[in-house]
Amino acid sequence: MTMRMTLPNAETRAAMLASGMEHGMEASYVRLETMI
Amino acid sequence: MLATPQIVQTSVQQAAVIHLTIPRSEMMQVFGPAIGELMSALAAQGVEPVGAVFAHHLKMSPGMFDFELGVKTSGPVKAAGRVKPGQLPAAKVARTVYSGPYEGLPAAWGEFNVWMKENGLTQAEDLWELYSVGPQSTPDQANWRTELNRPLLS
Repeated sequence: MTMRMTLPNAETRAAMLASGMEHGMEASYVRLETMI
Repeated sequence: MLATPQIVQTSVQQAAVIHLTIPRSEMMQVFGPAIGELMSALAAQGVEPVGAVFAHHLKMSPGMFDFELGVKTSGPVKAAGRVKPGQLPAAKVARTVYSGPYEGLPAAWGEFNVWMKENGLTQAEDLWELYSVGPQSTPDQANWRTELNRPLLS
């Protein structure tokens, strides 16, 4: 069985993907900077 | 919570990436539009993203991000605007999965770093994070999963 999820458009999908993830990246980097 | 780290040999995985070199202060503004451009380019080319978005940091320097924002793809992608064909490299990497909200990521990297040092591993300059389960998947932060990868020299 194959399941496919259809999303309205690329922009909506991008917004879903991006919302909040940048906070993870920022959080990590603050720590990683100090490990150099 | 950090899963027990493992050493794995990765194989090359094709991806679409946008290479960014920006001050840390600009990252929050740049991230969303870059993801949008990435996904639009894939949609226009009929290429499927595979799995979650990753950030591959190429060089760590204070206050500056030098990284590729990308996603693995089902097929080759052609260069379009800032989007370039790229890859996650074949490498011997230390890998772990952190579970929980992003506030815990700094401590997770700290703990992961201690583990690598205790095991006598020499770290390469680059590293990547894969945001496998995050705000795009569920609002429940306890269920978020971020895969941490650090290539090793020895």
